[in-house]
Amino acid sequence: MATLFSMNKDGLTGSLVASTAFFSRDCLLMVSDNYSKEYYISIDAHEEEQVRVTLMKKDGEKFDERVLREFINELIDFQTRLMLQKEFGEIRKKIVEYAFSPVE
Amino acid sequence: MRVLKGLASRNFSPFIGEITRKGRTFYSRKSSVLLTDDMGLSALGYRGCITSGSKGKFYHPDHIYNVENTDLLNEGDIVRLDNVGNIEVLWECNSHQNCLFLTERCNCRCVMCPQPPQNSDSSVFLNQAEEVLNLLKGKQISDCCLTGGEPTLVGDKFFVLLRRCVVEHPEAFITVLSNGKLFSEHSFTRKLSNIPRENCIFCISLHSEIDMLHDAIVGVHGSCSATQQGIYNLASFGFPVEIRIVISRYNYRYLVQFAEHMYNYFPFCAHFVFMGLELHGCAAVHSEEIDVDPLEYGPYLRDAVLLMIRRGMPVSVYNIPLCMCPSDIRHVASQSISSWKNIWMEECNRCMEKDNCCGFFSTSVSIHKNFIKPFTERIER
Amino acid sequence: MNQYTIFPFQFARLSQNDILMVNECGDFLFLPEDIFQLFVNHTLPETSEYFCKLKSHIFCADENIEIALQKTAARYRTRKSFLREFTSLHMMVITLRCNQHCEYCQVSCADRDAHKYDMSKETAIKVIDMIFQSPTQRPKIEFQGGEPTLNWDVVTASVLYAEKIALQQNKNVSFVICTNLTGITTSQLEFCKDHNIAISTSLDGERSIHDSCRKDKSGRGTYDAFMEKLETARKIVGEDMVGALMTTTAFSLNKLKDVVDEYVRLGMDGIFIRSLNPYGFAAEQSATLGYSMESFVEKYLEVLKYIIGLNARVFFPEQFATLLFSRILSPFATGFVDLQSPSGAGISGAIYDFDGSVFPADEARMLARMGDRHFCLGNAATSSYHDIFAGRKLKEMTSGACVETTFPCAFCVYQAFCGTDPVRNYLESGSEVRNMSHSPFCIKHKGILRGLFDILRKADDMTKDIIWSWITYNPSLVRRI
Repeated sequence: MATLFSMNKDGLTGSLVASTAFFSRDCLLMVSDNYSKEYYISIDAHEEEQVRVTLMKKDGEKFDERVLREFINELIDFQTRLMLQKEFGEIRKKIVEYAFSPVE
Repeated sequence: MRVLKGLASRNFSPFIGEITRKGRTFYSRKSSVLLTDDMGLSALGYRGCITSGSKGKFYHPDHIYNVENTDLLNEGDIVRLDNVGNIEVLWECNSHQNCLFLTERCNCRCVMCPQPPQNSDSSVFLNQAEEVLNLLKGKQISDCCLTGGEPTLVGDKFFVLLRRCVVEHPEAFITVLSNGKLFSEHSFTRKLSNIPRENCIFCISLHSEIDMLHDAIVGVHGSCSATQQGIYNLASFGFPVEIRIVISRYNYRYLVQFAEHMYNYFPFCAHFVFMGLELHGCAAVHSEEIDVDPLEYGPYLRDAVLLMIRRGMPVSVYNIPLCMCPSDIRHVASQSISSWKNIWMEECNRCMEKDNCCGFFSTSVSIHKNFIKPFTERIER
Repeated sequence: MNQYTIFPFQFARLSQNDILMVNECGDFLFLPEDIFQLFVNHTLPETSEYFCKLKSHIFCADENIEIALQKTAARYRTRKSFLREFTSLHMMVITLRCNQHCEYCQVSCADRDAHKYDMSKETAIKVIDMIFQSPTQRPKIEFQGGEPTLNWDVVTASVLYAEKIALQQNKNVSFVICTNLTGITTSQLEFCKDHNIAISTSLDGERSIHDSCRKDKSGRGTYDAFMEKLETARKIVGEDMVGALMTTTAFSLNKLKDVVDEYVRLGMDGIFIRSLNPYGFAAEQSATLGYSMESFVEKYLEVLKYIIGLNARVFFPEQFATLLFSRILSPFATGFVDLQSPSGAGISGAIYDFDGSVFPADEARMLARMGDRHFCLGNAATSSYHDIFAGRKLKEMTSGACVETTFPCAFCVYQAFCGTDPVRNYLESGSEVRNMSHSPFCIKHKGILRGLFDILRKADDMTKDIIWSWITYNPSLVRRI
């Protein structure tokens, strides 16, 4: 999972490296979407099975490193959600099916 | 059942009859049992007699003599007399808690069962129940409870008897005491289709929504889900359901969670009851494991009942005396103990609320004596 | 690894250590972070108290999956049971004319005398015929405008006709009239009383707040006229048949407490703190009237705390909180057309314009006024019920309007309590289905729901009693000072 993050010297951008073996593409894109209102985001290939995500604050203010930590937390949470969806997807379908099935 | 004792006049087969003190005309004596202070000529023609006096003559009907406390028997009560001198009161006219006992068998082995199940033949009880219903036909009764063991185990007879009760006594409130497990089969529940639902309610015992806990209490694996499925099936056929939970050391700490679960997943039930233990039978044997005192369960019971009251759920507390009941939920405590096994302690005679309190089980091997506290003034309601 | 089956749920980190979990049928639980990790990794021991809780709230099951499925499905079905009634709320725009000219008005109200903007009797009859084709046994007809009392003949004709049809079809029709009351006459009020028409009026706050936006055609405040008529109306139809709504503007945003005090002073039976809808006139004046949704959420939660405190003395529910608390705490369906999944537009509520055009929501009608008839489903005079309510347009719109299937709502912890508004989406983004993140609709509902969960987390017995007294409409639950 090894995520490394670093801050740019000019203090305006921050980036982190995330393993694509652990975080799926959907996960990266969906979490990035949450930040897209306040930040410009770019995702570039890094080393094998890794990507670098770079964030820059839109209003030109100084970049707070805590945002990178939050981003990683959200990646973990989101990946958990995707994994859970796979796990209980069938049950979900069954619940809706039972709920709307006609009475005997 | 209340049982009076005396001596049997001879070795007769057990029979059932309706008590009369006043006496009946000759033509209506054949199913009646005369209650008299002494056996005279007026006793002739009855099915049987009960007397506080001495043994009658050879020409008298079968009877039980030297009976004490005959004042406990009322006009219209239905009794069973046997050759050992037992007078079992099968139906008490003045009571609002009459039962039809259908079987001693049960498909659970509850750790707190006051009446351990037996693997006996149910037909004796079923015939008895039919005879009682025959004697009650045309009369007005207030209620009737079908119970056992597990009454649904008698199969089709259960439906026949239930239907009779409901149809012959539309004025009465008919309850069925059951664990509901057999109703988990849709086809079994469907047999209720021709039974009117207006005056009938199923009282189902559920001691926890967590399968491991409930199954541990009732001693049979798979009971929890069968009972819950049964409740859902009964409700889907439109029958009112009451859920009863017995408070014991096993589950007292989870009462709030249980109450919440009832609201969340069983809000369609007509009534919920939290019940105190009757320390008799299996319960007495396991009393160390299961008994829990009011100081321990009080706060949990209070929170659980208040949770239900807030949500507008009909809720009652049975078998817990008012002085042992948390003050803010006393107003839902009910006088629930059958009169024939209902007693009060000596201190209770000084209590201002004795008339509103359920008192204690005479059958319990021990009660929480230290917690008895007579009320010096009426409770604000 | 423990063999339990995890049941569907959503989750979010609400604070440092606390994770809020909500299952498919709206049952919820707070779990500490470390326990949550064990749970989702299938390593939470079955002997753990938390495991018990998770089972009790059906986040997991071991052997008895079938019964857990049945219970979840039953509760899910119950929550969605508003679908069974289909379209129940029917709004009739009796006229576009108005005797007032409120700053935030969404209806481009025409002059008092422009009768061509009145709904004709013939159109009203056709609309009512269509209303009664809806399967619901309890249609609710709401007369709107402009100011509906200005076209009174059509109101009375509609009521009488609807009552006749209701009798024939053995249905239970109810009426509401949305009026500013300032021009209403005694005989009109008597008619309302005789036909059990509930009155829904507007009161934005005490005089300075109310008059800042609610003005007559000459620009004068209407507070005094309103108060006089309010008293008359309550006398004639009874206090419980007169309800008031308020709209929060920049003028009242920081004074919501004063608005509440005014409502309590008047003996109103509750209040609905509504946010501003940025359409119609208001869009032009959003600079003066508007505010950010974040600040609305902040102020709303502040005044809600104030209202809860008030309830120690008097029974006074806040209606929006009551609705959301009902969704969070109870297993039952709550009818609120504007926040439903699938969206209530068309399938729970519909609006019939003065010319008979049928729209799924009021905003859709506003859109048409501005030139875009994208959402017009047809016309009561010329289209059949089937064309409109079972037609392709409504079906397509509804099939996309579900929180369960659109991103990011599909992963939102508040999914079970929230809803969609495809009309608003279209208005704001040009598309019926959009990414809701950062939209005012999402900011508002997420913010308020989060605040309500905060309240629940810390609620003492008194607060619980108060909240439940609102949900069950049972004032006696609270022992007041």
